[in-house]
Amino acid sequence: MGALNGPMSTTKLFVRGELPKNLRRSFSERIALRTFRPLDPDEEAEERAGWCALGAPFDLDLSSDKVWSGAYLTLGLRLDRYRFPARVIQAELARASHAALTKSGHERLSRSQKTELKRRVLATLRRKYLPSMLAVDLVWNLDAGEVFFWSQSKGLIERLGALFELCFALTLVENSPFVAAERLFPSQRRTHLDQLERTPFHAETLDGSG
Amino acid sequence: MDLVDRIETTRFLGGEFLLWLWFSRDVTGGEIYIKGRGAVLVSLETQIALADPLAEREKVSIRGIDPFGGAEAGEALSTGKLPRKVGLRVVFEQSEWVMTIDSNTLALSGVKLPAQVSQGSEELFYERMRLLEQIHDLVTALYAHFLGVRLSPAWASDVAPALRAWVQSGEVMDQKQFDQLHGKRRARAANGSAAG
Repeated sequence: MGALNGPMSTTKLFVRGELPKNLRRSFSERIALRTFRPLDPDEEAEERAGWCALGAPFDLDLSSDKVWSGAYLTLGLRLDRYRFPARVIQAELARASHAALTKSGHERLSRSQKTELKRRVLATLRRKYLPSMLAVDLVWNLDAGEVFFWSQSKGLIERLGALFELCFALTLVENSPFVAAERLFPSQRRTHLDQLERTPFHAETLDGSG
Repeated sequence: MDLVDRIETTRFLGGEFLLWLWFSRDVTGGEIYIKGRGAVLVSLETQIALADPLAEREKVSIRGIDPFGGAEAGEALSTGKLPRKVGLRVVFEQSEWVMTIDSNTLALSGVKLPAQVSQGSEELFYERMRLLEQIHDLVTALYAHFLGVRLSPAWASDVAPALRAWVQSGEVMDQKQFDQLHGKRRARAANGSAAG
């Protein structure tokens, strides 16, 4: 379910900061720098995030016609991650340790040998299994300064915020009762907003509080 | 207090907003007039989750034909819980949206958009975005309408006592009084509002 089909479950975020003058060119260059780069099993990186085309996680050719749609900038946040169950790692490590001890004739492995063994085991697992892949749609209304992100996961919203800031040098603020109120009311009302306290409605408040 | 702290300490406003929508439904039948837009019809759907803003883990989730009319929901309110997630149906002009709203973030999930007529993926994308932005604007306008009265003196003097009576005994405010508090009287009290 995303921007292009199905019911919509989104998080609304507000963009803070000034847009560059040569917006299209500047952003296109910045997007190219942060386009998703698939994980290579021979690298030590266990996860990576970057941009892909909206609704198409495997499309990493982010040409203008895919990214710009009228007032909207459209992207997908792709996050690939190697995830191995702890028991699998432990079993593979035990097997590798046993083989190393047999080969060397020693009784135990040194700390550095253990570290090296773990690095090798993880590299073997990376070659053996594919990383998990996740892609989430993102639509930015540049006129309104609002971003719709098709996930409500806190972790993914944080990942988006980090990549967005790195890419566009702008920050994202998630919608909330306070953020919405702050945008709706001018500064003199904001002082009032700062002093608001919860109104109790239940029976314990009959003594006159609230 | 910095922005992050203020965001956290005012999340209760979302719960109060959803409670006010629920109360408005009981008073007006769900028709809420928003200045500059007209009538928005808000009805409550088949699910609600209530939680104490200070103890989020103590949550009550109710599903059914009318989860808002049952004893369980009333009991949860009477112990200090506020709506946390509410199923809503919003009708404006000829369009209808169904969704769940989260009080903590005002995020909308499972939004069923009005029927779309566009052919071709690009046109369909624009139509879906227009409809998504429209429902977000309507919810923001309803929230602004609520905040207009929440930030006015009428909240403490009239609206909060009426809400309290409704929570405790089911007593519903007179619609004429509700309209006055949310219309002419509010406009004077909340001079300078950007609502609507």
